[in-house]
Amino acid sequence: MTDTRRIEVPVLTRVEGEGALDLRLRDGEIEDLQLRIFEPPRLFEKLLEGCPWSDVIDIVARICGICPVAYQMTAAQALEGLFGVTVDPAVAALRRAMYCAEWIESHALHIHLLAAPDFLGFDSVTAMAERYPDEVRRGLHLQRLGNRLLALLGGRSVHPVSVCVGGFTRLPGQDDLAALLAEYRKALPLAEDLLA
Amino acid sequence: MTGKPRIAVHKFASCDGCQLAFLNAGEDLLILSRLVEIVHFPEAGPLDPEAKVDLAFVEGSVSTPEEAERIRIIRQKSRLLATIGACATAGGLQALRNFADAGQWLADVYATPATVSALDTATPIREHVKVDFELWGCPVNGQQVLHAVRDVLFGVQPAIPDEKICLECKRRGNPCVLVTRSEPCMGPLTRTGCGAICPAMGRGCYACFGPAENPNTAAFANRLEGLGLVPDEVARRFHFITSQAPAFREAGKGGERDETA
Repeated sequence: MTDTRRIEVPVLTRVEGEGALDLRLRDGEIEDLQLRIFEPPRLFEKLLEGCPWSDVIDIVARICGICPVAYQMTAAQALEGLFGVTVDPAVAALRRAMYCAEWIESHALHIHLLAAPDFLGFDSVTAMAERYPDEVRRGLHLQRLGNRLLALLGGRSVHPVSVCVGGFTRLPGQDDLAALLAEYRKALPLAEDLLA
Repeated sequence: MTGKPRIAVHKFASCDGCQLAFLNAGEDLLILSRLVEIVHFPEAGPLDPEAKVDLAFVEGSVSTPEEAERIRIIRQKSRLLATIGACATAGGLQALRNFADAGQWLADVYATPATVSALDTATPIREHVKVDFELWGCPVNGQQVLHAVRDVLFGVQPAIPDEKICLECKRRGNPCVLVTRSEPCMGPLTRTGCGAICPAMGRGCYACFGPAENPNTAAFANRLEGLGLVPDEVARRFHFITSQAPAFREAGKGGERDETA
């Protein structure tokens, strides 16, 4: 006798974006799988056409609120390719730091607020925090460090404002960079503990 | 309110960045979860789209027939409804289709546009249902969101600043980029809430927080032309991220790509 099951997930949770998933299983094997992404179209491909080049970096950030830096860096490099500009190694290093800051923020958020509660059977991060307060605090600390570096280099962590063709509209002061670097160094053991 | 107030966070057409006001709040998010019950917030986990709540936050603009229907249901189920961010308050970048042939845009992007559900316009939430208070910004200021929750818990209408960015620049001691560098900075027309970060970072404001109180758009448009911007460039300053704020929608009319003018 065959065992057929249907699993319908009308709204995928704990993920950026809007989607649904339908599964049909027969005897434990997936017979049919439908993934529906119904994120409404915003038509960036068209609204960018005819825009002044100096608006592009601000515009493409808004493709995604979780990873605006990825789009801004891509756009900056694309425009620099068009202009034949090579950025200073210091600028390249700061850009890499900014990109890494977005990874640190995004991955810490994903791990602690979205994925770990699910894997460990908690309804939410707050429920998980009651059982694992130190681990959640550690995750929030790492997330905050990512956001602070983004804000230092970009003005704010969501839709930074200082990325431009050629580099940055303003660079942070040495003292501010040194202070944040010290905090990152102090947090390195926390990151290692997270992976352990 | 008896028991913990119930809160929902809804997403419409948006980049999802305003919800980070909650997810980036760190310890404050844990405190918030003790003060209120978050019954619907799909990105964080809780799913109950039609739950009755005391306060619903809405991010994003209405850009599909399904969204136009969903916002009405949310309004019915929510004692208070607040919009967060430029998309929900002023359309967002996706509202730029409103000035163009949106059907043609859709066909240019998608091979089979008939399979894509989209309205010709992306509109602010207040054009569909009554909104109790609005928090502007792209992204919204996370502190403003948390303060608004506190205000609601105390039973008061949130006081949301709408003064111009120039005042914030003066408080921060920013050199004025409009005056010293002839940057087309929209600060004199734009509401504060961002902390005047663009001038602080050495570039002009691009009005992502929308119009301030009593914006003199005509005089400022004149000033922009004086800086050397041609009329189409001036129009683009208004028809950008917050184009559906009435003052900006009006002020940007007549640009090259405005097919409605």
